[in-house]
Amino acid sequence: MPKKILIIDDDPIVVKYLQAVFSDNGYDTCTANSSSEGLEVVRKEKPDLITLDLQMPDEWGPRFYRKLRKDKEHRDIPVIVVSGIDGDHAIQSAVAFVRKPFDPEKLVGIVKNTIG
Amino acid sequence: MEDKLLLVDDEEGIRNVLRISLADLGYTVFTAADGKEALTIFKEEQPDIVLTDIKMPGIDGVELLRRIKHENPETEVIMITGHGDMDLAVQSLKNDATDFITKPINDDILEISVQKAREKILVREKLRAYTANLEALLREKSALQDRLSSLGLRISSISHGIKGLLTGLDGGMYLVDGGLKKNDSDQIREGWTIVKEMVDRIRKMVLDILFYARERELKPETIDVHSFCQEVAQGVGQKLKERGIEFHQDLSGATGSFRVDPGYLRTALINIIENAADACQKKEDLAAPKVVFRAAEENGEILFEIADNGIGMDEEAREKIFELFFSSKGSQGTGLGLYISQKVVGQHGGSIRVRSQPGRGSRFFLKVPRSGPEEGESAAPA
Ligand SMILES: Nc1ncnc2c1ncn2[C@@H]1O[C@H](COP(=O)(O)OP(=O)(O)OP(=O)(O)O)[C@@H](O)[C@H]1O
Ligand SMILES: [Mg+2]
Repeated sequence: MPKKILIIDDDPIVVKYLQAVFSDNGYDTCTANSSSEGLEVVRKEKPDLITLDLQMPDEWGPRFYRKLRKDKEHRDIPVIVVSGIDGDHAIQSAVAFVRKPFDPEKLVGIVKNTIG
Repeated sequence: MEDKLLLVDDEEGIRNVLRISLADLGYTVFTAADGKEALTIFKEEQPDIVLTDIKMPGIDGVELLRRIKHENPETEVIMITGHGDMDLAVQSLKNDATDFITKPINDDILEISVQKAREKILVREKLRAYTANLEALLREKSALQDRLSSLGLRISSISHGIKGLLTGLDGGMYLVDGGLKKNDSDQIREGWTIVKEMVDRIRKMVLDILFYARERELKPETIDVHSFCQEVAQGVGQKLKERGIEFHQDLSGATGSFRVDPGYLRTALINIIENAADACQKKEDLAAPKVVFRAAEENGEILFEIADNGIGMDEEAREKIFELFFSSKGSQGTGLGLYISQKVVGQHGGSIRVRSQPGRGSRFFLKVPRSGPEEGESAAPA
């Protein structure tokens, strides 16, 4: 069964872009356009990996991350930060910090290394 | 423009028949009887499309395909196959052949296949033109960096907005690329729409910055306050109605005259009214979205007020909204609007204040003195 990636980003174009990149490389995807929706989707879809934008209108990425880490069942899902903000300190235990605009091949490389 | 096409087949009869059909389709046709001759002609003429037999003595079709792709990967190569060439066909696919046509060749199928190749080339050319255009814009942007930094603007505040747009552009191009590879015209169209939108936004942003970063003198005129407000309200009110937002105006206190640059001040007000409309539309289940525009005299100054019942904002947002490129609208906003409004009002000797709570709408207050800017005061951001 293909591995599933949850994409959290408020920009629908970026979401579409990431979806295309991941599905071209054989992954399933699900999406959320805000932090709070992100948590719901995590519980419903149980993704194998999450890509997270930092700056989003209502609740920023780091807050999502803190909530995720408090959720015993899902706390170990690896998170890759994909953001235009400079500041890798924001989420320290992220698997990787990928700056926008990103190189799709590099991103897929990181994903492959993380979940195969 | 005549398109060049190279036709390769070891059988003279086939070469002659196909040459005529292809010339009828409007191509300038070059022919070669084997792979070696084909490569010589290819290097000289640089045709966009190559049509080659798959089975030939010497360099066969697959090897020719490989060498042509090595020479110029954007060449569209169509393979002519016979019965039992399955293995060769698979190898051609792996080497990025555009299409196959089988012998005996049907004229309609030939035309469709060549046409498809042609379309791929056109899309790629368009994309390249757009990208070149964009690069020119970005070059302008870097010339601009010097200017902006001399104005004390930190490039880091600009870069976030630009990064978002560039990511969107990458996304569009990625979809177009994938669509071309898979021959998926829906995906090409979808990607193309995104590319166009992003290029438009980047263009608008760069032009906006160029416009406002330019040293330009304010041209103050003494005008009637009431008719100025009326004019602003009329233009923008119509737009809001079309978006399903109620627009109220109360200009009864807007009397007398003031001395302002009407073009600039109008821009400042419209930016704020458009934000108010966006804020209404962002609020889900808002029954009666409404924007109110008021203008009145207060202590010898003109006070404009723009109120909405939209999403409102928290303290964190309130502190940032006047920063260059602060925007919560993703690819829908550049974050220039309020930055510009504040500069303009400041140059008129006035000020902007905001009152807002999350979920409870926002109120913007603009104070503009009647005396306005000094004659010839610079309009460049201070
Ligand atoms: N009336 C309002 N209600 C809620 N938020 C607002 C309002 N006006 C402005 N904002 C916030 O301030 C941000 C900055 O506004 P600004 O006009 O500078 O940029 P923008 O509207 O995002 O983009 P644009 O350059 O297209 O105007 C907005 O993205 C929004 O988050
Ligand atoms: Mg705006």
